[in-house]
Amino acid sequence: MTEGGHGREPLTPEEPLTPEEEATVARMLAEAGGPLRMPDDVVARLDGVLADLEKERSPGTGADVVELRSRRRWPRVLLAAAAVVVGGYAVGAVATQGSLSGSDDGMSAGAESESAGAGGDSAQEESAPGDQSGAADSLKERPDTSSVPGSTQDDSSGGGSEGAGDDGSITMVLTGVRLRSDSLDTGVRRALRVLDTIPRRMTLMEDYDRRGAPCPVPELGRRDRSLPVRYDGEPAVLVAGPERRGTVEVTVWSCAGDELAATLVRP
Amino acid sequence: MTPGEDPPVDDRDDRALLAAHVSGDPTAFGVLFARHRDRLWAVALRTTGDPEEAADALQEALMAAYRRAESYRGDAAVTTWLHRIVVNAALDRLRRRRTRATEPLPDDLEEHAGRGTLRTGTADTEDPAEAAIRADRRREVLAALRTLSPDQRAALVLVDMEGHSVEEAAEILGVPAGTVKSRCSRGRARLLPLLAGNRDDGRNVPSVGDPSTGGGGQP
Repeated sequence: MTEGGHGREPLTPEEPLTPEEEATVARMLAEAGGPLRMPDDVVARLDGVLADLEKERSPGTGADVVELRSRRRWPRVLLAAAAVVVGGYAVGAVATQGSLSGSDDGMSAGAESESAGAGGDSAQEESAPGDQSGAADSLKERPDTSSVPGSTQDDSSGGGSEGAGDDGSITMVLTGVRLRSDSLDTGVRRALRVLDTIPRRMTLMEDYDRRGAPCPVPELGRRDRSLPVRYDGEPAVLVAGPERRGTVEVTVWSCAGDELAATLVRP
Repeated sequence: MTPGEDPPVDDRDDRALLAAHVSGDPTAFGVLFARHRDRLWAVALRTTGDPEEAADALQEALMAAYRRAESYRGDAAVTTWLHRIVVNAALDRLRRRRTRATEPLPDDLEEHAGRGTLRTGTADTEDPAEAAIRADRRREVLAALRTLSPDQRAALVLVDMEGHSVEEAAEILGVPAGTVKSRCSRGRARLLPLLAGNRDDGRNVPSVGDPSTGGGGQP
């Protein structure tokens, strides 16, 4: 990374600007600023979140997790292409496959660790004592998504999410999300919260195969999000559909192509 | 509220809305958020430099503010409190992103921003060619802004782009006013050479220490 690139603090202070130069830059920034209207899709998304929050606050709004349908099985003929990837996952060193395009996010194992662990802290650093910032707290409430660099070799810790290696390739980073069939709703909610900590573009099904997919799953929707997990101890992939009317359809697929669970969840 | 609609009219001020929310009013928080959503969106978008990150940060902030509303003590304006939560969420995302492998940021921030309506006073009367030039300049400025550290970027977004006073920005960022001034000053110094040539009067911004100009740019 270069000194001027990606915002690294300079090692030595910049030469101060003259007042005129400062004013010039400030004016150019002001001209590039100005009011913006929030896009309609973001308004709709946040309205949905608000509606869900209100439901969450109001008692007696009905079941949060609904069994959608009986188990399905994905045709095995479609599984063969991903066999190498599955093998890679099985030995615990999560698969490394091709590179993402330039605009895609990368995330190293260490970065993922810092992401989850430092999110709240960094917010706190910026907050005055007694700060009421809820964003920091909301991050702290998240489940542990951290992974120690090197722990990607430890298959026992659970599922993973995608990250970029030093060479720009995509690797899997273990997240430790475990689902149990006898407490599915709790696990699914936790998994969805973990998903929300990962840049959306890194979870989309449309790029699933390129990210070193741990298990073959059907591409039910290109905008669906996926998260490697463990289901009753076995490697699996959770696939979350888009939020509709405050609910998210979640399916869990085994690496053998079995649909292990399908639920409708209010996140 | 339906997308595209103006925020609902409510006579209650921000503090009253927040208090009503804490008391169980099911609509109060929505009214409050809708009242400030465009400004919060602008801050999140310009701080993160990425529409998707901005939307994620806003969602995170919305949930945090909704759930932690009772912790608002009234020391600062409600809008300052909201901005603080949004900026913190955006900065957290930026810091997480900085720790990942180097990656280019989207070049189409303005395009994404354009999904919303730019409410400039000249939008209806501006010549299309001039509008295109201005859009190019905006794009260049925003690209330069993305090279700054998150802290410098947030300070400049709040002060120079969103028009907050240094004191307001300090409250939002939870740092002393002097720190905001320093971050703005250092950020502008880093931006100046990047913005050379991006002048609306055809004159280049002089590079810092450029002997040919004496380092004294004209505003």
